[in-house]
Amino acid sequence: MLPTRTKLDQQLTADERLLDVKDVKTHFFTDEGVVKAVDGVSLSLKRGQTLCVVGESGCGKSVAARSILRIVPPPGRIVSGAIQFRQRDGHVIDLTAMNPRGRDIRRIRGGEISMIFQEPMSSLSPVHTVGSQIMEAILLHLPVTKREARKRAVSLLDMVGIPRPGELIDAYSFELSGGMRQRAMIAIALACEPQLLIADEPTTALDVTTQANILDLIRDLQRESGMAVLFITHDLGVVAEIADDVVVMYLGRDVESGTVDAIFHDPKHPYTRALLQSIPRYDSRDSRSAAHDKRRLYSIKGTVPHPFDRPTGCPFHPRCEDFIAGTCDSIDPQRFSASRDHSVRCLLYAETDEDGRAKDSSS
Amino acid sequence: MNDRAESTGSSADSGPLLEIRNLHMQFPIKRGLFRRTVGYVRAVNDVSFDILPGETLSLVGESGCGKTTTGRCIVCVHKPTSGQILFQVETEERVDLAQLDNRELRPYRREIRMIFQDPFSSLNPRLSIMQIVGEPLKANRVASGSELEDRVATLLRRVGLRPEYMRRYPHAFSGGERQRIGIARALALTPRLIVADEAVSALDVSVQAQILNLMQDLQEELNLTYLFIAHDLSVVEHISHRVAVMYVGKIVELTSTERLFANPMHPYTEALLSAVPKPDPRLRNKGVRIRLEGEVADPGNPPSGCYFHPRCPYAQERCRHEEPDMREIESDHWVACHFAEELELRGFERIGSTAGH
Repeated sequence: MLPTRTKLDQQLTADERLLDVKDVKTHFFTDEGVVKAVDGVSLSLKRGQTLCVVGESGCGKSVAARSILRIVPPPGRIVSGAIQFRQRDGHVIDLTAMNPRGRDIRRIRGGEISMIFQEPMSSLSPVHTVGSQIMEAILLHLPVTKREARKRAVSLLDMVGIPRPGELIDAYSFELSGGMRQRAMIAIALACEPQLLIADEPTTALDVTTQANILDLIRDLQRESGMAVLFITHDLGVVAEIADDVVVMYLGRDVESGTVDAIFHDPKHPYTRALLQSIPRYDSRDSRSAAHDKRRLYSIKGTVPHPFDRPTGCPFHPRCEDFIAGTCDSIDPQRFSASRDHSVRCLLYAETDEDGRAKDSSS
Repeated sequence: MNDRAESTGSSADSGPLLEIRNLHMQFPIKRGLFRRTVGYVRAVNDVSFDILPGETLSLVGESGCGKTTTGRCIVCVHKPTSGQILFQVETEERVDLAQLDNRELRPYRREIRMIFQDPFSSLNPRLSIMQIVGEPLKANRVASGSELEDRVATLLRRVGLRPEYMRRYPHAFSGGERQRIGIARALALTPRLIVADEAVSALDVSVQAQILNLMQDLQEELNLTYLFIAHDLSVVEHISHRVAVMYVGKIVELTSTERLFANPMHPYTEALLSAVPKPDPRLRNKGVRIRLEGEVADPGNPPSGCYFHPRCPYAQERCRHEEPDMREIESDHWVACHFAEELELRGFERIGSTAGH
C-alpha cells in the first residue's frame, strides 16, 4: 500500500463539505455572441461521497467540471458564483478567486483535485512512457526523489490493476488496450492522493465488461482512500450503480438534485422523468404488452435549443409535457425543495414550496 | 414471444434473406522493411448465420470481436477471405455476393445499405443534405432534376426532417438529426437489408430513443430487415428479434432475444449480461457481477482450444485443447461451448432481481 498522508484529513469530520459550488456561471464570449454554457449551477460534495452529474451532450456538465479546476478554455470565463473547496489543511478557499495560471491553483490541480477524461488515448502523451507521466505528477507535488517516485509509480500501477507493473511502467500509451489506458490515467490522477477526483465520462469509450471493472476499481479506491468523486456521465445505468447523490443538468442549469434513490424512484422534474423513461429497460415478459414489436420508447419532443437561442423562463418549457402557458415561459424557476436534500427547479412545485417555506418565486 | 415466433415462422416459407456460410476474413500483419506478411489477424473466423426477412438480428460483443468486419463483409466493403454470403434475389434464387466483382455487385449494392455510427464524420461537410441524400439516386441513375428533389423531400419527411432543410449543410444539424439524414441516405434506394453499425451508440439517451423508434417504424412500414451491430445490450434487447454474440471473430451464441437474456447458455454471454449497469439504484450490489479477468484475446494470436477459456470461470481441462463446435442445444438456440448443457447460467432477469426479493 502507498504511504498515506491523511493524518490531517482525519481531523475533519466526514460530514464536512469538501466542495461547495454556488450558482456558478461560465459563459463563452464568442464573436457571434455569448454562449451561456453553465448558467447557474450549484452542487456540493462531502468527503468520501460520489456525486453524479447527468445530462445530455451540450448541457454544460463538462464545462461545470472544468470550471472547478479552472481549466475552462478561452473565450470561456467564470462570470459569477463561488466554488468553495476545503483544502487538506482545513482552509476553505474560493477557487473562482484564483488566477487560473497562478501557483496556488496549480498546487490544487493534481495535488488536491485531479481529473480523468473520456478519451484515454488523447489525454495521455504518446511520446512519454506511462511511468514518466505518473512520476511527473508525483515529482511536481511531493518532496520525493526520482527513485522514490518511480517506486511509487509502480505501486500505483499495481493498485489500479495493471498486470506486470514493473514492466509496463516503461510502456507507451499506444501499447496498452483501452481499459488499461484508462487504468493508467486513473493511476496518474491518484498519484498524489487527491481529495477529489473529477471523472468526466471515464467509461463512455469502453466496453461494458471493461466499464464494470473500471467502476469497481474507482469504488474500491474510493473506499480505501476516502476521496470524493464527482462523476460526469450521460449513462443513467452507471449513475444507478455508483452514485450517492445525483445532479441532473439541462442547458447549463441544475434542474434537479437529490439522493440517487430519490432521483430514480421519486423524480420530480419533468426532464428527469422523461430521461428515465427514454432508456430501454429490461422489463419482465409478463408486464410487457403482447405486441412486442409495437414497443416504443418514450422520447422527449423537440431538440435541445441552440445555445444562442435560449428559451425565456424555464429553459425546458418548449419541450415540457407539463408546460403551463403564461407561467413557465415567463418565470425563471428557483430551486424548490421537494424534501430534505432533494431540490427541483420547476414551477410545478412552486406552490408546495410556498406552503412550506413561503418562498416567493415570481420575483 | 408468440407473435415473434409466428413472424419468423411465416417468413421461413420464403427462406432467409441472407445466409452467411463459414465466413472468414483475415487481415495480413506486415512487418519489417519489405512489409513481409508475418501472420494473419482472423477478424472473422468461421461465422455462419441467417437473417430472415423482416427481422432484426443483432451482433453484439466487445470491441475487436469482429462484429463490424462481419457487417462490412455483408455490405461488400471487404472481400471475405473465404465463405459465402448468399443473398436472396427471388424466392428460390440465391447469389453469392462473396464471388462477385465490383461491376457484378452493383445491382446488389442498392439492396444492402449501411448506417454508420458517427453522424459527425459520416456526412460530407461540403455537400448539402440534398446532395448527400440524393447521391445514391443520382449515381444509380434512378432520378434526376426535379424528380430527384421530390424523392429527397419524401425521404426527409419519412425520417422526420423538414424538406425545407435540404439546402442546408450537415453542420447546421444536431447529432440526432444527422443520424436521420444518414438513415434517409440509406433508404434512398429502397433497400431490403440495412446494416446499422452502432447506429445509436454516439447519441444521447433521449435522441437514441427517437432514432430507435424511427427505425422500428420504418421496419414496419417498409418491411426492412436490419443487421444491428451494437455493444449496448439494453438497446439490443429492445430492438432485436434474435441476437448473435461474438467473441474473437466467432459467434459463441445465437438465439432469440428472449432466450438469450433469460437463459443464456454460453459463459461469455452470462458475463456480458452481468456487466450491464441496471438503471435502478435499489438493485445495486445485489445479484452477481461476474468480473471478467484479463483482456480480450488477440485475434492475431488466439489461445488454444476455446478462445474464451483463459477468462472463463467455468473452464476445464477440455476447454484448453478442444475447440467447441457450434451446436443446436435447443431448437434455434446455438451455442459453442462444451458444457452448455451442464452449466446453470444466470440470465439478465435473475441477475437483476435475485436481489429484489
